[in-house]
Amino acid sequence: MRKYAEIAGITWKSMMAYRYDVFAGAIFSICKILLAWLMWRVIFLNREQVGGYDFASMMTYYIIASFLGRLDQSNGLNWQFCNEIRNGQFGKYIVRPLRPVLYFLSCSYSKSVYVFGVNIIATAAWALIFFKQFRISPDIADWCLAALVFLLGMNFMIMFNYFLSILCFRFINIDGLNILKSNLIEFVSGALVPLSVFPAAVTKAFSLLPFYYTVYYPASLLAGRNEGSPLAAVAAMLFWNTLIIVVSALYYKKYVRKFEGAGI
Amino acid sequence: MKKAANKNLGAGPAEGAMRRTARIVKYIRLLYVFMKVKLNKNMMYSFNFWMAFITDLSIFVLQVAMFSAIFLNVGTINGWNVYQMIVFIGTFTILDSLYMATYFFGVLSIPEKIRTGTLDQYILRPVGTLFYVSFENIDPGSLLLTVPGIMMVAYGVGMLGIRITLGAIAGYTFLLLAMYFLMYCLMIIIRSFAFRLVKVDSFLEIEGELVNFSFRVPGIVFRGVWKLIFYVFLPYGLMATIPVQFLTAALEGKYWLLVLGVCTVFGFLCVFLWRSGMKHYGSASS
Repeated sequence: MRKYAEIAGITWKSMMAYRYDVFAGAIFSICKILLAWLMWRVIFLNREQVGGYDFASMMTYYIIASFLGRLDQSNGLNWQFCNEIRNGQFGKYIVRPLRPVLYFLSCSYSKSVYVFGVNIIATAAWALIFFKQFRISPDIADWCLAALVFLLGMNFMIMFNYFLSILCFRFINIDGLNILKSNLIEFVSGALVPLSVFPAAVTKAFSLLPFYYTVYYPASLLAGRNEGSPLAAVAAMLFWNTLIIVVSALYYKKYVRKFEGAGI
Repeated sequence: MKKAANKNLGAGPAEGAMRRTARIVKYIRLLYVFMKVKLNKNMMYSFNFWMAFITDLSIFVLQVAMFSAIFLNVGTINGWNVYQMIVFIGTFTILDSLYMATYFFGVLSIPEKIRTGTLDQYILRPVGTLFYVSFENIDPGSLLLTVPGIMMVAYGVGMLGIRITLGAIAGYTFLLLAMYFLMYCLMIIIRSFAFRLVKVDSFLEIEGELVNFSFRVPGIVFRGVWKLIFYVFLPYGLMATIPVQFLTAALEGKYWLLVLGVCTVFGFLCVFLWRSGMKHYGSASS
């Protein structure tokens, strides 16, 4: 495990080298929150509730969702792995005594921890700015449960991005698919708009997907709304995590043989 | 000098007009060549060509889904109903496809060209540097996106029961082109800072957020100081909102003046900043 801790440390150092980008990203998260504030302020003009949210819980939801949405940093690694597979540089992971999946996980978690440290300050600042509308759940149990579901959700997202990156062994270029995936996930995870504004049947259908638990479920919980049984949420994410780990391992085993080293 | 003097002596109004026409024809031919080259490239990677189209389209479909869901809960947003919102998204789809098809990718590469000094290659060519840099990466494939955009606008207008006249089409097209021009000016203005600051990544990031902003939130939600900011100083709020307001309701005269004023000011600012930036440009060492 020590070598993966080293990899995480090196990733941390490289994040420090580009800290300006991380800080700028944290500051620019205001745009998303400001956008939500401007839009929902008008929508709530003559209404008390929309999709079961009042204005304060809606703003709380956006501040938390914006924070959670930034924590998963595995999308960049997915692009990196794809490029390395395409350009024949993936061999460096094969010849070294390490497992690419664990490399991917350690880099992703290292980045997430760093981004967490920076963004928690920005989120606290935005919460202060919007203090009139910021109403987080006071229940510690909600916090613990939200953290657990979010961690399982983030682990799923990392493994999902890893799985997509190794699809490059088979399909060579999946850039378009990656962009499409990002757009779709932003939508079905509730990062754009709380999923409860959709008809009940659609929300129910979304809850069958793992992405429901990556942003929407934990953000709702912290905003003081319970969107389903906590046990069911944990069980669902354990199932999805197991599935993606097994599928990724099988897929990697089958298609890594297609890799020729000098580019495919 | 002698050549220039001769040029001036023989330059009557007719000759001047002919020279201008020849110049326009030259630029149109150049655009045609850029387009042919790009199409050839796209044909080599046809999967990516279609994937890019599907990806772009998905953004607008998700946008429609998002607002449809919101409108299930509320009747109107500041006076706009779901069909006006569909016209808004359709208009942005058309605007997006127009600038993606023409100048977007070219303008995007300007800071990199300034930083690495590759802008030298463009200055030496016998055509306007800004024109060449802006339009060399023309992407005709993006024009396909205008089809769903027009369909969205037609559907929204049909459901609103608006009678479409030639005047309405002309006014809508004029405003759309004005916004297309304004978007170009805004993109150039931000990238002109690269002549002085070299690295302008943070500006570009802010620009990305502002475009997303205008993309997802119609200008009608802005009030008070926010309206002043997003209609005048950072006029991203005008983009798709103004053509939609014209098409779906009468656009007040003050908004026509605002559009013309903003386009003129930003047009001049764009030319001024580009020219002063070019004077400041010091090749690879800039």
